[in-house]
Amino acid sequence: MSAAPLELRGFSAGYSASEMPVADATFSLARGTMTALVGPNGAGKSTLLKGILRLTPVHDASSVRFFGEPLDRVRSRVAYLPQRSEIDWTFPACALDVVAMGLYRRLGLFRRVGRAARDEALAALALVGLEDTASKSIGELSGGQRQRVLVARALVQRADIVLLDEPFANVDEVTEQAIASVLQKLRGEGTTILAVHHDLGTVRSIFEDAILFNIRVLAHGPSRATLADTSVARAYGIVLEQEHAGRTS
Amino acid sequence: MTSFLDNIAVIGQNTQLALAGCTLFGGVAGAVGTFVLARRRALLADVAGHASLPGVCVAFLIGESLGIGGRTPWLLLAGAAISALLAAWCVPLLARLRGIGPDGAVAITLSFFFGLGTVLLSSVQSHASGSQGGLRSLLFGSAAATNRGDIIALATLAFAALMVLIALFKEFSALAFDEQHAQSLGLPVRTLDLVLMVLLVATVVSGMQVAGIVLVVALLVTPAAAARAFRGSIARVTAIGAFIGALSAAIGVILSLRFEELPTGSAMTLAATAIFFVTLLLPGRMMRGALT
Repeated sequence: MSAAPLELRGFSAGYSASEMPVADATFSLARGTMTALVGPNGAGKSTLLKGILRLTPVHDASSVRFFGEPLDRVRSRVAYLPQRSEIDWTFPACALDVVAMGLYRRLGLFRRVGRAARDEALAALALVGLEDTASKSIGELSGGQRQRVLVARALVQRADIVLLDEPFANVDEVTEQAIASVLQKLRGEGTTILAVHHDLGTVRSIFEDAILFNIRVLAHGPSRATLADTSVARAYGIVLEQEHAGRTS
Repeated sequence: MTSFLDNIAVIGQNTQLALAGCTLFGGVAGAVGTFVLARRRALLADVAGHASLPGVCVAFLIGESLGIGGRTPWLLLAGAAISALLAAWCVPLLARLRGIGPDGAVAITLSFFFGLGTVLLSSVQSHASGSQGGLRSLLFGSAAATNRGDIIALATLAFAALMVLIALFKEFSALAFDEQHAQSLGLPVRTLDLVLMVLLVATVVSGMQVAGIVLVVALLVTPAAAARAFRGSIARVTAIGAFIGALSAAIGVILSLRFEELPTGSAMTLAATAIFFVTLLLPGRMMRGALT
């Protein structure tokens, strides 16, 4: 049997003042599954993704394995989609430029983006329904369109596992459907997907699996069962208690 | 206008070489500026400009003491680059100290290096070749004070910077747009950031004699800022920045040759700023509630 696309054993991260901590996370994702990472604000979900990708310091890098290997040996099989709000959308680029960035690793240093790469980027834009906006400046795009451009950038990487940080945050319905169907298509092709997700209302309809997370993994399994009322209350309840304590102190 | 051109034709080959060299520098500065702005390094370009003064002076004094002449172009550029890089290295170190912050670090570094430079400049000017050979005009730039060797050196450095920018264009783009994604791709973001810093210093240093160490920052920032009024691909906007930079530099050289009292750097800066104001009138420029 081949190794799991992503496996964490006692993974801890988040040591700077601006980051929420992640403690002792252990879980593994099977090939061709789609998992929502669900938890309250400040639960450390983004830190978890960044730590997994070594974008932030982690306690023990060997506690993360992609396909049984350390990240550096399988980087081309892993794609990441950061939060849209963390990106400088005033940067002078068109949609096609951004999507082509997903190909930079494969193209290699010093190589230019040629016709084949452009065609590939255009095809990815078409998959998210943005074929007409290729030459549009990213500053002119709506929030939903920007999100779809980022998804297209992840698509061209042709990765075997995609980690997404809030791909459905503040997007219109068209975008939500476009992204959901693209992710489901990828999953059907055997890609493993892990996405931070906020909206409890849509978790069950989009994701088959869910990880309930608040600093540590509270539950992991089929989304319907995992998001049963008691466990959600446990995850979100911690924040409510903290907020309550903050107000009264 | 005709009289300007006549003027250039009359002045001859050396001036045409100066005009070509300065235009190349302006173009490279405009292109590099796109990434300097995107990475929020505009003030660092100002630090690099001011901080090149002590390096130039020390290089001059070394050249004099070795008997190879203080005005040796490559020696001056090397001295400028070393002290500018040293200053650029100091800024993040100081910024980490409690209660200083990036702006405080920029102010402390810039003023210290510039202050040190002006002290050394007085020593340089006691040498005959230092005062006669154009070091006096280093503050605001002078195309007229440069000689053939200066122009060849500055053009070579600017050309080298341009080649690096072209070679790493897509990597710099990825870094400037979304550093975390670039890092997740496995791109060497720290090394790229360092190379961008060296590129910034090389561009500043190449232009210091003609644009002046006080004003050279304008050629890196203002044309690139003006280019932001235009839309399209990264390559297109960068090319427009390069064009505006080249145009500003050329106008600056021509005007400063026409009016002898006008420093070249001042004329370049005013030309770039005038173009910047024109771009404010372009449709869409005022997006994102600039005036509200």
